[in-house]
Amino acid sequence: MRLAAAIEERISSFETELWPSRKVELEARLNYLEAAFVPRHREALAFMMESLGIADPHVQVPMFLVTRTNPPGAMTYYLRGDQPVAVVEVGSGEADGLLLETLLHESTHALDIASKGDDNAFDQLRARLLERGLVRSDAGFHDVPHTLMFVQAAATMRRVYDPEHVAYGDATDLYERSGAIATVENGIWPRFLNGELAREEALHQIVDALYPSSDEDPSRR
Amino acid sequence: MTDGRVLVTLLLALALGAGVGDTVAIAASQPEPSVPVAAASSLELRIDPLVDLYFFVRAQAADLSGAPLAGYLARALPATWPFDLDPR
Ligand SMILES: [Zn+2]
Repeated sequence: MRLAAAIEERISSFETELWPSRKVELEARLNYLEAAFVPRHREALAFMMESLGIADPHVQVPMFLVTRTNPPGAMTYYLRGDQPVAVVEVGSGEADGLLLETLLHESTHALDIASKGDDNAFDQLRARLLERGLVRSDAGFHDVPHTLMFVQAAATMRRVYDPEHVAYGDATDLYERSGAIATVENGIWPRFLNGELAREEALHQIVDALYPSSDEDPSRR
Repeated sequence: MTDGRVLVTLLLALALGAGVGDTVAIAASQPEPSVPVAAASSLELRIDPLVDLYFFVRAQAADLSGAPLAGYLARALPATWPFDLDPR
């Protein structure tokens, strides 16, 4: 079987031929992150959890840095027992701020997983979306909480690491692709973070703007 | 050795020897409330040759031969690999 032979060949040659240079590349990124990200990352996680209503689950989340992975380049997986584990591609070409925001974004997934059932902002959004008639397979059911993870991670970057940070969603086409969701959340969520709105009110306004209630718009039933 | 066993053996080594299994056992929550200045939760940045290899192969799946490899991995992985194949 030619395919399996190709895989076997790669496996046997990986450690001797490919890993040494990859190790150098990964260690350089790891050293950078140990200096630029790690010292303040628990402060960043605290700000994110406080903002998102996540009760600190007291977990240590392994985050594997890899040279290459399938798109979108960073993912949070679940070990058996719901232990989150993140995998992040750390290409040396990526701007440092975007990499840090990516680590925070994956952290949000991990903390959301670890605190499941705690009625955090994502749970509340999902409940409100179901109330508005969305079903779990609707794109919005995934995208509304997920885009908020990006908005919150970018705000955390600006609060903790770099006031001039350009959001991943703006630096890439992410916000453009998410359209109204990103526009609405970027308009409302910072007002909560600045203390102008209560969290529940902000979540309510986000859902209302994206999925008006049937009283306001009977056609959406 | 069958082709499937090569990969399974590798992944078993990965799961058992590369420390991934170690991360499953996480200390129980500390009861005292934490001040939100620094979270009690934290990240542990790691690099690991076998994890790098695994995701390298996944990323190359399309280059190698597309769907057949994805199917091959899907059949070979769940028994040994501690990650779910798809993120939730
Ligand atoms: Zn995500």
